[in-house]
Amino acid sequence: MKLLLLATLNGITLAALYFIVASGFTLIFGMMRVVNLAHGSLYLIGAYLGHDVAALSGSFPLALAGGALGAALVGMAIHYFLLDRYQGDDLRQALITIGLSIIAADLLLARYGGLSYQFELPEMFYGSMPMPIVSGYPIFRIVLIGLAIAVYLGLWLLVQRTRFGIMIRAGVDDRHMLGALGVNVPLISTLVFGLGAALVGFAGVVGSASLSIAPGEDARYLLSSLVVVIVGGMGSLPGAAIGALLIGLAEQIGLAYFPTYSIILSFVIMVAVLAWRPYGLMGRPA
Amino acid sequence: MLLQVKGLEVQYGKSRILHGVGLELADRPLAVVGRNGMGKSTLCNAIMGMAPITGGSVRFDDCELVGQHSYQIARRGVALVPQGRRIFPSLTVEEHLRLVERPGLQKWTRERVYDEFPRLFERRRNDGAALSGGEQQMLAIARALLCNPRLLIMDEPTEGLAPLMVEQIVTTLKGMADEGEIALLLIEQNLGVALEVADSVAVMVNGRIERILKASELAADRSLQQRFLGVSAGADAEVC
Repeated sequence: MKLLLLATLNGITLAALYFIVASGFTLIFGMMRVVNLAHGSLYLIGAYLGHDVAALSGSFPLALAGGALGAALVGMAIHYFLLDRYQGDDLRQALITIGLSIIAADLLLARYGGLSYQFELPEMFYGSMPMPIVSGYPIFRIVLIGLAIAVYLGLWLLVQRTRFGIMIRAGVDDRHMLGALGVNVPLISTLVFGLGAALVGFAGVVGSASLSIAPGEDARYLLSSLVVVIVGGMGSLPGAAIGALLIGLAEQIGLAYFPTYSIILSFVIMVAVLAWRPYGLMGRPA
Repeated sequence: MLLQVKGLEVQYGKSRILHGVGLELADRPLAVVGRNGMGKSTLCNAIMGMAPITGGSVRFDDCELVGQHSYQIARRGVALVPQGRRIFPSLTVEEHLRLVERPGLQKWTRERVYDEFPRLFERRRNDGAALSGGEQQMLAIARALLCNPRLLIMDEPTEGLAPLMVEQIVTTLKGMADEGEIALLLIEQNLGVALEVADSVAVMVNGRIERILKASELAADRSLQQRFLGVSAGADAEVC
């Protein structure tokens, strides 16, 4: 019982992190249809930058802002200079971003080395919260769940309630018509790409504070985002949340009960969902 | 001259659609008619910056439009009601209007649009995908008017609409033409509508403007209609 509860809590925490990473991915890939296989690299860039800012300033909020802003700037530069001119040319965008992710991985390895880093968390996040059965659970992980919910609500409000959100949805429907109405579509796309990159950079700082930063994490988070978005449905925010929960819980519960095979569990879920609903749980035909 | 198109050429891949189109438009409405596949829609898209132009020029208010992004062209004061209406299915009516409404003192505001098209006010919370063809057409026109254009390009606004709806659109267009606020370039298959709204008519054949004549001249001459448009008896009836 204790094991099950603990695995469930860990699953939800991991889902929260996966959701923040995948929400950026669903904005960029699901909504704007920009293929970005450097999403994991942006996670790692955010994490390392956040670490540097924290080491320099000693402030965790500044680290969060630094990681998000840094990833956003890198992301917008990638989109503006390299990706926007090939909009609609999926294979070319895939090649460019795979190339970029290899370059980024090597640059980061050269700069930060191969050891894993750990964050110094602020006082208030240390310690654990009293809980029944499992006796205590780290406060920071609870905070992480709160952050994911805040990201969900913030994004939902942005997309559904603001003029910028209307532009995003209109751009998904008919990019050329949106331009003919006087909206600077390339600028909007770059901003949305920046927002998605900011989210994954933010997730990088949060994730490395609750787990750790190391080379190779980029591929792991790219893969998890792909699986989450495919399971949940491209471009759907509720879909990304449901997908993240499914994959997070499956990984942690699998790890607790049948560690040897847990790695395949997420892919079993993906295959099952694709067989049952080819566009993902909340997705619709493009 | 508000709009001046000269030697405009458009090519998609290897197939050339426009072979040097030329036309001029001042403040009186001009209609472009022609059979299917003659390049009428391509002409609209080219002016709006949405087609690959390989030669020629489009001057609007003494400013070259060729080579500009469509959002820049729109901001200079050209608006398009596209063929097939191209309503955004996931936006509500209200959101369509919020999207294009400009802040500040403008001739066209959301309120004025709702006054002009009361049906849109009733449907303001519905998604674009849930509207009927006529409602979508009203929305496409309203959306274009909210851009507060000086030139409105309408690509087959009456296509696929019921006769009653066509009549309402014609009334709206004639009202706009008489007010003289907005210049109108009207692309039409329905010769009756074109002749009723426009003063002069350009006939398009195989990617060229074959001839520009007075609307009354074309209306009176059955053999011209037959030659350029292959008008049948059914379409003739609409002219009357």
